[in-house]
Amino acid sequence: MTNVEQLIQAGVLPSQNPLTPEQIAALNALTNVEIDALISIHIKLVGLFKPIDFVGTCF
Amino acid sequence: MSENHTNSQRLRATIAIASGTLSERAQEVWTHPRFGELYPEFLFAIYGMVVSSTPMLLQAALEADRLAASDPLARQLAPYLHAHAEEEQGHDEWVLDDLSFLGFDRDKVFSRLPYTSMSALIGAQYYLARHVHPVAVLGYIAVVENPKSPEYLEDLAARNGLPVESMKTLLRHSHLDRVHVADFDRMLDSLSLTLIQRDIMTASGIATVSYLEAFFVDVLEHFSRSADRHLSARIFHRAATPSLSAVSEVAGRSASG
Repeated sequence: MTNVEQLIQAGVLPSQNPLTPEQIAALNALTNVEIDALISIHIKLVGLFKPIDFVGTCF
Repeated sequence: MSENHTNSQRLRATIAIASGTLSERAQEVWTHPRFGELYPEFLFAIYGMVVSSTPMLLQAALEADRLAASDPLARQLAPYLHAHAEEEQGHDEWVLDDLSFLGFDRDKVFSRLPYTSMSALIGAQYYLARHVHPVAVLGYIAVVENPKSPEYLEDLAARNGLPVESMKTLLRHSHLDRVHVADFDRMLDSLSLTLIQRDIMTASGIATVSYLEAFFVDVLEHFSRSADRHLSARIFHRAATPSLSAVSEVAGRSASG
């Protein structure tokens, strides 16, 4: 099973998604650990591949 | 994402995959129609983050020191973590000053427990640094160190009737963090990471996205209860503090004369 298929099966990525072939390739290049991490945070993957917006946190 | 990407490019690209909902929640806060009233709650919330930055980084630095003799990555990381821990020292006072300018007593800040999402956000890094590897902290830093321009913040203050003097923390970080981000990327790109070390760092970044999203949900949730004396946190019992408009008037008078 590819990473994208795994993400769809886990419900974090919609089965009907607008991913480009490059984005699919990028997701499929993630490691098993990274896929597990994405699945385990229980969020829906939206706005994929957009650089993180300003969150305003200070460090 | 090809293997030709640098460490920092790959880390940021992977975090971007996870951060869509975080960005949405953060925008809900920053574009909130009552942001001027919500802002003190946000300051309280990030106080929990800022006050723990130096101790958490120091913990990671000490762990890197402990591993250094047998771990080349830990040896490379330790100087950066020590230096960064020092750079962050005292920034919690800036947050307290901002709150104080808005009429919120620092003792009330100390007496209120941090959000559980904040404890989870920072606590995860203590755990990962101690029990997995201090390289995890780099995933956290890549998410939270995320400056906006001073112009954006000044405009935000003006639009919401907030005295710019109450934005010292954000404005100073908008300058400092640009330098920090460049230093961070340079340092990260100089590291030779094994696959598992890279995984630890990225997984930590992805977890940070999740905890930070919960943090923004908490900000909105606590603010939604702030009008109710029985449900709100004590720091928001307005009777004991000047109203925001009164603070703005005082700030305006002191600026004009």
